[in-house]
Amino acid sequence: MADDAEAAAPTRSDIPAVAVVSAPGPRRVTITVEGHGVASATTEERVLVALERAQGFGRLTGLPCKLPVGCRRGGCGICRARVLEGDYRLSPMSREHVSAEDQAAGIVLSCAIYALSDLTLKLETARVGKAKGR
Amino acid sequence: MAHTGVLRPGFIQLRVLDMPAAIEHYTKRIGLHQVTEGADGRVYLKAADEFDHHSVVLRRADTAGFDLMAFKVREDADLDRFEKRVADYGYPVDHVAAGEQPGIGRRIGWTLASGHRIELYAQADQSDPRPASHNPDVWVLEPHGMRARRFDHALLYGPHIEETLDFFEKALDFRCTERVDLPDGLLAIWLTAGMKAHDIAFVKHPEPGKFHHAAFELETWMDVGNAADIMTRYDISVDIGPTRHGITRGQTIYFFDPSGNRNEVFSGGYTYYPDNPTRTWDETQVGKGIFYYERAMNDAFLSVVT
Repeated sequence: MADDAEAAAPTRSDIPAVAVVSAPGPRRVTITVEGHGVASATTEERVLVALERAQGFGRLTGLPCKLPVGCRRGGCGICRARVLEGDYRLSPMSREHVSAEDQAAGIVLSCAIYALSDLTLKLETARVGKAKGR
Repeated sequence: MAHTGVLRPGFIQLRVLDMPAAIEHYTKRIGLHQVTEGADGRVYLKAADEFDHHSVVLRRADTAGFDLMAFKVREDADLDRFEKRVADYGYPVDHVAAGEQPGIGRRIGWTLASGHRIELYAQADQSDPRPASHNPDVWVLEPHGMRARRFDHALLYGPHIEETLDFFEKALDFRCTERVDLPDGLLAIWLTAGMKAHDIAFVKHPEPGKFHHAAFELETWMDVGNAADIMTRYDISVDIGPTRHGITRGQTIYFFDPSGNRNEVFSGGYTYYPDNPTRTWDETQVGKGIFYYERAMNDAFLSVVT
């Protein structure tokens, strides 16, 4: 708004009382984890990060174990999931954990996707090594 | 101390998914410098407090993880001596020509029972930035980012840990500084070629060739705090810390590079002499050994690797 004001040298009545920013920013979406609950997210954050936050608020229940969180950067594969519904964009994911065929079938690493609409996910935690606990 | 044979870790080569993001992470955030980029696209990095040509090599790939780790030996003839000892142990040894990595002389290499490629080399050019050696200031370039002083060690995950321990002791003259034994057997080993608490470590894991972390040494515990500030400021994915290891006593943070490879920054750790006993841990106190303040392993310690 400031730029416009300088350029056009407006009269007082041209200056709006409230500068409404309509630039595209993060949008709120909901991520449904089938059978476990719903997380709120924005289109600018990794879906896994939104799920971690929802877990912290107690909104994901009945998980077979704690939400599997690893590197959060597409490398370790522990947060594998299937997108059942919705649009998303991808950042790099290791082919070791999501093959091209998997990817075509909607398999993702949830840390490597950003929601573009409401999403429905099914967690498909990979068998990683010796896995949990001991 | 008469330090002969294998001197220390020289360099590690890691696979990354996004090279520009990796370069930004390792140079601007961790505080390394880019030395050069090879014709094949591999990128060579070093800390300003290291003399030799490079200590970290990044290779763009569609999977993250570990390609190899190379140790520097004292002299060229050591390469022939170790080649015979490694071959006699039963591992086929191959040769990498001088210049395959810029600034590095001929290398010998083999694959461990754990599935990891290890190499030895004797010659490295120096590169800038490097420490001064006459009337030296404490640094030539102001440390930046997390102020890493060197690539220090790596922790690797794979099977056959008993054999890996035996091999490093018998064929390469490493010492085992610490070990974790569970009721069902050996879980983890920390090994040194010199007087650091560790130069390389292994945890037993069913899949071969897996990578847990590459560690960068910082000067002080305050620098670990500074690193933590940087991780939050730049939204770097943190695994755990700042905390401390009971094992090695290092003050530490585990975090991840933009491809999900785990990094560590740490300070401290004790000095190991070859006449010191191996420190041992059992299942009752292993949590304290891994993370001294939490006194428990986190879920990721045994399961999240690249």
